[in-house]
Amino acid sequence: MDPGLRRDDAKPMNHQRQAHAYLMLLPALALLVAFTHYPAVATFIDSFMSTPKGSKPPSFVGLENYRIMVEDPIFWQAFRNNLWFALATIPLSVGLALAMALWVNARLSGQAFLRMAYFTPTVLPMIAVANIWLFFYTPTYGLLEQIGGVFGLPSHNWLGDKSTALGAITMVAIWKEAGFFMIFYLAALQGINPSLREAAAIEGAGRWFFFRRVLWPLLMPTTIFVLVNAVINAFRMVDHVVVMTRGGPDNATSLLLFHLYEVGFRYWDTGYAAAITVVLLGVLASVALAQFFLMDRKAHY
Amino acid sequence: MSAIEFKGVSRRWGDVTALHPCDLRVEPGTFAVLLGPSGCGKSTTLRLIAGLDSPSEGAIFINDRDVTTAPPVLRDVAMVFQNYALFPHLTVADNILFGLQVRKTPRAEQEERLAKVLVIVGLEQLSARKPSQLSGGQQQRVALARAIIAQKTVCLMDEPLSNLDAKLRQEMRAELRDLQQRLKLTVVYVTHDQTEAMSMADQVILMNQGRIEQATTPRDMYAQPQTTFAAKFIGTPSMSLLDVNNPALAASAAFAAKPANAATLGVRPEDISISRERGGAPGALEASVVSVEYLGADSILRCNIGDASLHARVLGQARWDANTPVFIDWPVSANHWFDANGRRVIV
Repeated sequence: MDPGLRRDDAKPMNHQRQAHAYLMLLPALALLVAFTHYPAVATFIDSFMSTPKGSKPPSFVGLENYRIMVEDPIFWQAFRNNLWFALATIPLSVGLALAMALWVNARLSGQAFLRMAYFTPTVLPMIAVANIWLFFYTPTYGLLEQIGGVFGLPSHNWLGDKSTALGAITMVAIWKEAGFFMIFYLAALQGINPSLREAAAIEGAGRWFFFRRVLWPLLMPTTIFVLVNAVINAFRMVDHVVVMTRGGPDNATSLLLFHLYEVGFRYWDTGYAAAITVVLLGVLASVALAQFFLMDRKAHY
Repeated sequence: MSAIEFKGVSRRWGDVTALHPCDLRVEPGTFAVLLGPSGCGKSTTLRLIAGLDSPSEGAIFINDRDVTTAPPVLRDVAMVFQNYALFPHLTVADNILFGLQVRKTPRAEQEERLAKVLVIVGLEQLSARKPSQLSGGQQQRVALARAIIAQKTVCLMDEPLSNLDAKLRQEMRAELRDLQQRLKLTVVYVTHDQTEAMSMADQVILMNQGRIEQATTPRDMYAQPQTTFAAKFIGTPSMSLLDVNNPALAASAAFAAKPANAATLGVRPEDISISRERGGAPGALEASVVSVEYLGADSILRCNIGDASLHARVLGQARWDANTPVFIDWPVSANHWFDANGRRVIV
């Protein structure tokens, strides 16, 4: 058939097909625009506007909201808290996930049970999880207190003490994240050809050599994926804070998203809240991009 | 001295017996092939030699050293896996050098040995590539190179050619055999392909249902199958097995020599002569051609004698048609007698 002729024939058909395609895309597209793209752009614009009060509509104030942020000591405290929180949760939860996955993978019997046991923290509702841990940490009759009491340790208010509150919240996050990440590592490990291990055994490679030279590089794509998720989760943490401490004592457990929530929905300072949002999104986007571009080169797919 | 020896070795998993107690010897510098249908225990046997699995009972010796409980690395064996087991993230060079890196061989020696081995397998140009950038045949060569560079005396191969296309497989057969001779390796090679076994082996170890049926040279295996299984498994098409009590066969001259305890008579297709007239063979059996399979150089005829059926190999140029009445005969020397248990009857 003559290709030119055919294209002319197909032209009206093509328009119809394109219309069809856009119609099919419409539901997803509408949701994405309404709940992701439009809010992101609107927030960016709002961050340069003043907060509307009563009959006073918002007006352009330039970088004023950002100046307030730089001078806000609670913002900096939340930022510092969040950095410590991320620095502790990311390596510990990822490391723990990998260790558990290697352990479960080596086990032939009871694998399904172990997998489920480790995955449980992830499927439990966050609020319920936070309440369970709240009971663990409660002074005088909480679980930690009761165990400590047996060994004659002094009573301690884990969530009420400025020096231990953030650590206590970090523990809960690690416990919850590690099981989730383990599932990804376990899936990746089970996708690795078992004869690679046998080939290495024939050559006399020890466990550590095999891990360093074969498993770790082959797990790199999973590690990147898990790391990106860990970073995002670390800066997205808010529900445990709300249930367990409400940012206290004295803002010791206030994280960026919690601070944002307070500013936006308790003090209704929407302009300033928009500025914090833009900063938070900027941090997350740049971390994710850096991870993908820097580590992608080292990863084997 | 033997390179590999099994003394009463067996392997069981609960109620399942993969390998019944067996004895086995492989002489140094020979090419031994473990042959059998899938599930016969040949891979289990290979893994027992490698140390990837350990026997339920018995003792395994490699180069006269008891290695029954030794880990793979202390057994002086190299192995080529069926799926090659190449490390996908490492280059060809690093894949081949993996074992030397484990053993911390000096850098200069590594380079020297790598260069030599790359020449042997013909991969000089491809040493910087990743396995995914190689063809199946080239991956096979990398796996081979990784086994050779270790300079072990015993090389184990688990169906190494099964993933290659037919033409490449034929080339690699000759190449592997040549390599084994040149490097004076002891090779234990697992396959279910009898052509591979017959063309490469010094010793064929035929296995069935976890037992060694027969272990001997390919020629002897073909000429003197010790069991009906061996008779059926080796040869294409396989030996025809006839029930000696079938009245349709009683008239055959070949039956005159029947030993008292024989239950089955085996005849290879190529030993059968077939003609349209009785001619000068008074003991010939009347038969009819049921089907003709034309293969070029020769044809395979399936013939019925009463309700017994057998295969005959004839020259490809001769024309035979189905439903032709024919006369079938074979010399007494071509008889293979088996008793009721399927074991060869020595005449």
